[in-house]
Amino acid sequence: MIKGSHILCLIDDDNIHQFIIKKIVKKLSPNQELLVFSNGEEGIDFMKSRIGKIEKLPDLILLDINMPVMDGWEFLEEFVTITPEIKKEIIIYILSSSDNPTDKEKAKKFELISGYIIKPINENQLESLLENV
Amino acid sequence: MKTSSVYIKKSVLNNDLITIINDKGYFVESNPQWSVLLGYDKKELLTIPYLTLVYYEDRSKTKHAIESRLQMANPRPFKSRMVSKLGDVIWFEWIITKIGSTNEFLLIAKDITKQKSKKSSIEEDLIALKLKNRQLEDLFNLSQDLITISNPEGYFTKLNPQWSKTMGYTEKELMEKPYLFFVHPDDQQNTVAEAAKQFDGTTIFNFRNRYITKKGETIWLDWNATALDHTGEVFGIARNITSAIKQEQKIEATLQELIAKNKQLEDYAYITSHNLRSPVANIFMLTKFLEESKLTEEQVGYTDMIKNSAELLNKTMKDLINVVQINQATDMTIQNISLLETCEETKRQLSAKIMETQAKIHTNFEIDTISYSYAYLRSIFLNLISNSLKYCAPERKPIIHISSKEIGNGIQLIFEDNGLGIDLKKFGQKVFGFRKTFHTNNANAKGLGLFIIKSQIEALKGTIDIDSEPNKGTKFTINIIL
Repeated sequence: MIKGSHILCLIDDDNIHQFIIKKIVKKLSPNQELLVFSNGEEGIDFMKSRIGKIEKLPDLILLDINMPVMDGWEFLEEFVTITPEIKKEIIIYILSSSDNPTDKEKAKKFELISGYIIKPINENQLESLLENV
Repeated sequence: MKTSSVYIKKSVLNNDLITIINDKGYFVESNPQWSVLLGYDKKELLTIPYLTLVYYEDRSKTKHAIESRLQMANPRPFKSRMVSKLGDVIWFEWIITKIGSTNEFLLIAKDITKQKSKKSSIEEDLIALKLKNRQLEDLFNLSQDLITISNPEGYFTKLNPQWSKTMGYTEKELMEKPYLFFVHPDDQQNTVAEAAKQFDGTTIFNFRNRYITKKGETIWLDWNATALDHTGEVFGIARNITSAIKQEQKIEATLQELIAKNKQLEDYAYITSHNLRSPVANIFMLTKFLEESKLTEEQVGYTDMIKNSAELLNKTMKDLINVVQINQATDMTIQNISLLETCEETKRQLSAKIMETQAKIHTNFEIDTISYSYAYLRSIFLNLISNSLKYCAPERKPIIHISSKEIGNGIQLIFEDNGLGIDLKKFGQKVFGFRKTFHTNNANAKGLGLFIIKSQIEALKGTIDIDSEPNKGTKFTINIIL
């Protein structure tokens, strides 16, 4: 049902939430590759290191907003600058516990963002995200 | 009666006013001379009682004179004044002739102003003028407003006493220099522009400018002014609205304070929203996993309870956010607080951590008592001292210096430690950002302390700055406006 050839990426500082996503993904598709980063800086460093290697870059990124060192917005700003080099269409969803209207408005300003999901994400939502990659 | 009408028509060219008045006291006919002398057209004359044309002082006398003359066989003429449409008072000689048996009569009024006015009218006018002048003079002298006449050269030529009272200069001093000399430098350009408008006859209303009194105080004036005539002399009345303006400014300042307060509450709501929502969301998911695993009946019961509790927590949290968003902060109350006492209280609160780290805290408060929000000051001390303890360098005991001194418009509060420091080249002013942490090895860091105290300090119009070097220490400088 789900092609395991895609790469999924989670950028979130919350260990428990990381665990939850890992567990759901494993349940949906045992062989799904999932990259996990604890803040935007780790995430962007990885992306930069994989420029030119399309097959190593994620297809879908689930991005938290509030994170230490480099938050979700800063990650996006950095990401925009490297998109021309990436040469791959990467789907990005905000996955945050913030239902603050300011954050939702801000998310709309980034063309890269395909959607805004408020935690907790359930199995069905994640499944349909994976299917649409 | 017919003959009388004919008489009127024939006398179109007569200089006298000729009319027939009916028994109700209204005009029936009149010759054109009425319009010439009194300014009323025939139509108007037919709709008003003749008596209203008589000068008010002469009315009852005139009425009597006519009534008595209608009984006489050969009535003598009498003198009485009428008022023109424009308000001129004119002396007439009245000749009354009764018509038929009714109270209708023919009136011939001869203009005798020229003879009469030469004697008494001038005198009367003079008395009236003097009276009017005295009234105006009183008004001018007693007015609370500032009244002036200025000439086209830009000097005051007449000032009422209120000017000296308000400005502190004598009338002579005020007239010696161009009035622009007394206008606030920032308002001189506007004032010149407004004054220029009056040369083409514009009347200005509610023009506001500032004047500087002899004592150097700034006062606000609200002007109405108009050119007197083509000579360029300008008549102006100004109201001193300084206290009203001060009130306005006070309201504006309060408003700004409220906006800042509100912004802060929004920030708190945001923090609450995020920091509480994350774990609650996790609990929901984890409970779901639990439900899906093999559980005993007892465990299912506990899982249900956890789920219900999480839901309740979620709901309470939402309510709380709503309350925070609409509630006024009560802890912004400004009071006199001792810095030393606040520091001691904070030390007591952190005593366990201070013992554990063997930290030394030195204080030197040149200024000790300040007017500030108690809650905010506590928050500043608590956050900065606990940060110094949390991020102390492992190889040396923490030493914290806290001091205060007077600066221009307030006091400066300095917190200095010998801890880990922060790489400002890398992070800059982001250190005050929401949920920013800079020491990856510290799991307790939430990145809230500096964010909160910065917003608190700024809400009270102060500033906070950081100076830091990695592994040397950190210095926070807080300027509090008093």
